[in-house]
Amino acid sequence: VTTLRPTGEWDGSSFAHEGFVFGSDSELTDRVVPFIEEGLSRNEPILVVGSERVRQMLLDELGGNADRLAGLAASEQWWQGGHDTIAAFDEYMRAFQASVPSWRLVGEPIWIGDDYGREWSRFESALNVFYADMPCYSLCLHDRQRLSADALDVAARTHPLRWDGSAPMEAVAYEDPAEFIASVAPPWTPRPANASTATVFTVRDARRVVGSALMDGWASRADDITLAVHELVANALREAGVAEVASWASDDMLVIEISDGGRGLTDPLRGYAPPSKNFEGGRGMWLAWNLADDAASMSSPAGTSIRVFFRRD
Amino acid sequence: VTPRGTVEVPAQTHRGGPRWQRSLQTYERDAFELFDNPNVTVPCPYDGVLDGTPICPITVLHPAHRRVGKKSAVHLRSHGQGLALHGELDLMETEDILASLSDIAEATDRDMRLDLSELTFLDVAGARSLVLAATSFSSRGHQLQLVNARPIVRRCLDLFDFPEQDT
Repeated sequence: VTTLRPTGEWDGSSFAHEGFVFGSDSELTDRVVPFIEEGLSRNEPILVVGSERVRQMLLDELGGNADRLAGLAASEQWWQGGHDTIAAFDEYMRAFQASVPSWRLVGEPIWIGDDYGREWSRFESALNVFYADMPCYSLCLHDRQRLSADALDVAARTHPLRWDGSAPMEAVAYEDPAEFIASVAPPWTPRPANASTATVFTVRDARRVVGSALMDGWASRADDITLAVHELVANALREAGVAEVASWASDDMLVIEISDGGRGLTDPLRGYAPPSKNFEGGRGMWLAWNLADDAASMSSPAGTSIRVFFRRD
Repeated sequence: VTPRGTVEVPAQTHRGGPRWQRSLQTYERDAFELFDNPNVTVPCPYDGVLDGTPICPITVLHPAHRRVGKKSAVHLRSHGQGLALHGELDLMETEDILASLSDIAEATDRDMRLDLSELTFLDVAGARSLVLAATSFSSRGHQLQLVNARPIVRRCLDLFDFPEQDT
């Protein structure tokens, strides 16, 4: 007889992040209900973000205890793009952190079955680093009937824990976040010969340069592009005093590359970690990544380059 | 005919001191109100040696400020009972704007609206300076209410928690 240990060795002092794949209703119930009941017995707040199926199951199984959840939200309405979605989770995380010693999340990111899987996977991977000190057990539910094999594969690579039937165990498929994120970023192709380039010494030079690159049909994205490039150039100038801005269009995508000779991105996860609402830095990168449709970075001893991609509306 | 006038700044202002800086802020804003007419040009001569002294916020109080090597892209002016920002506020001017607003916060005895409808660009550093300014109002029991922000300006403001206010 094996004893069920819903959170295994977790002692409520740091972050635990499990990916759980379910098929049948009983698989789902057997994992999630003891997890929630254990949390409630320890007075840990629990936020659930689940699909209709998961929410209904919980209401049936938990009965009156469902009222004791800190929140029961609908996955169907939770996705607002990667940055705003992680920011929504982050608000709960900060509120819990300010009020209780430890807490739990149950999340079902159904949007990874749509086109948003690649975008979300970077946050799912990066949060292992930026939430490392959060005393939270996060149980992520992945529905085998709903998700493709590819989506399940990516989920396995971004969750350090998986379920072995009676306790969480280390997931061998889990990848280092910096490596994972590099592997799903747009490939770093050589800059095309027709790219226009300019050297800038001030953020205002940069805004002018971008303004002239936007003449041709990008008016609807002009605000996003100007602000994103401005913030990235501000970072580059802080590092190196001078920056190069290159831009080119390919298909319906405008690519802008900001390069400097500085020591480079010390943290490849910058741009994915929600800035806390105090006065630390890091907001510029977060905002630029958020405004862009995609982003990639390249660091070498010679300097750092960041590319932001904008789709024509 | 374009009427012109010259406004002389009280000599004591140059020697600094918080009381004089505050009266300078008020004075320049009143001058703006008084002469706000497209047909009037009012050059306000400031001695170049004042650069870097506490009265440097003069740069943002004059829409047509001219100084070799530096041109202000933003200016702060009076707007009805309140204030308004015009132009582009970015990291190059945050210190001056913050200094101006903090002086006003110290002098005022009421809540104040800061109209942003003519502000066409705001970056993260600029938004941070507005949070600090709003904080210096709230620490004196008043509110600095930011109103009429355009979407591009809203983007950066939304990254921060402002002291409680009804916008």
